[in-house]
Amino acid sequence: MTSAQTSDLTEGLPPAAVAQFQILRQRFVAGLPARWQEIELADTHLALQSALHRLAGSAGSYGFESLGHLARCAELLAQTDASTESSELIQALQRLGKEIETLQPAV
Amino acid sequence: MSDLRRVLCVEDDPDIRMIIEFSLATVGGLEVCLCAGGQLALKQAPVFLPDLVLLDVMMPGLNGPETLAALRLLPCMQGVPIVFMTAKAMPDEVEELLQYGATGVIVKPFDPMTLPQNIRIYWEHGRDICADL
Repeated sequence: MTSAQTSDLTEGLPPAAVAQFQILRQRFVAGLPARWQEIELADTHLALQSALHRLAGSAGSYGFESLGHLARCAELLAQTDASTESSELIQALQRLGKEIETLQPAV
Repeated sequence: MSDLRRVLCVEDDPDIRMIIEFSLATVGGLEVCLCAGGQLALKQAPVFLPDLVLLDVMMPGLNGPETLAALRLLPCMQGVPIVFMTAKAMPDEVEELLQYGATGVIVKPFDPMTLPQNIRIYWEHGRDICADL
C-alpha cells in the first residue's frame, strides 16, 4: 500500500491516531515473516488452512488488501485440495510468499 | 437513554485484537476489553459488564458459537447483543451464525475506520429486539 492510500484510510483522524495506525501497520509487517514461517512449516492441512485463514482475516484491516486476497485464494485452494502438494496451491503460496517479501522494506 | 460504551472483544489472533482496539477505542472512543479466547471472556463478562460483545467464530478451545451459548447463561449477558466476526461470509454461513442467536455478523477483514459505526447499528438493532420482547 502506498502512503497516499494510507492517508485515504485514515482521512479525518487526528494526527496522533494516524501515527498510532502507522505503528500498528509496522508491527503487523514485522510479524509477517513469523506468519510465513507458520505457513511454510504447517505439518497438517488444518494447520495450513488455519494460518492462511488468520492472515486473510487480518491483512485487509491493516490496509494490505492484496496480501489478504492472496492469503484467501491459498486458503480456498487448501480447503478444496486434499494435498498440500497440489501445483495450484504451491503456486498460490509462492505468490503469497513473494508479496510478503515485497512488503518487508515497504513500511 | 443509555449509550454504547463498553465492548467485549473475543479474538484469538493478536494482530486482529490490536486493530480492534485501535478501531473501537481510538477511532470509536469506546471502552474495550480484549479476550484471547472464550474461557477468558466468560470470566471477564461479569466484571466488565459489556454493552455489546464482538466474537470471533473460529477459535481454539471454545469456538464462537460455544462461547455465545455459554455467555448467554450468565445473568449479566441477558439482552446484550452479540455480534460474530468471521471471514466466512457466504449467505448460508451468515444465516447459520444468526441462528445461534447472534445479533449480526461482521465480515473480516473489516475496515477499522467504520467498524465502530457498524457495531453501533447492531447495538441499536439488538436493543430494539430486546425492547420488543
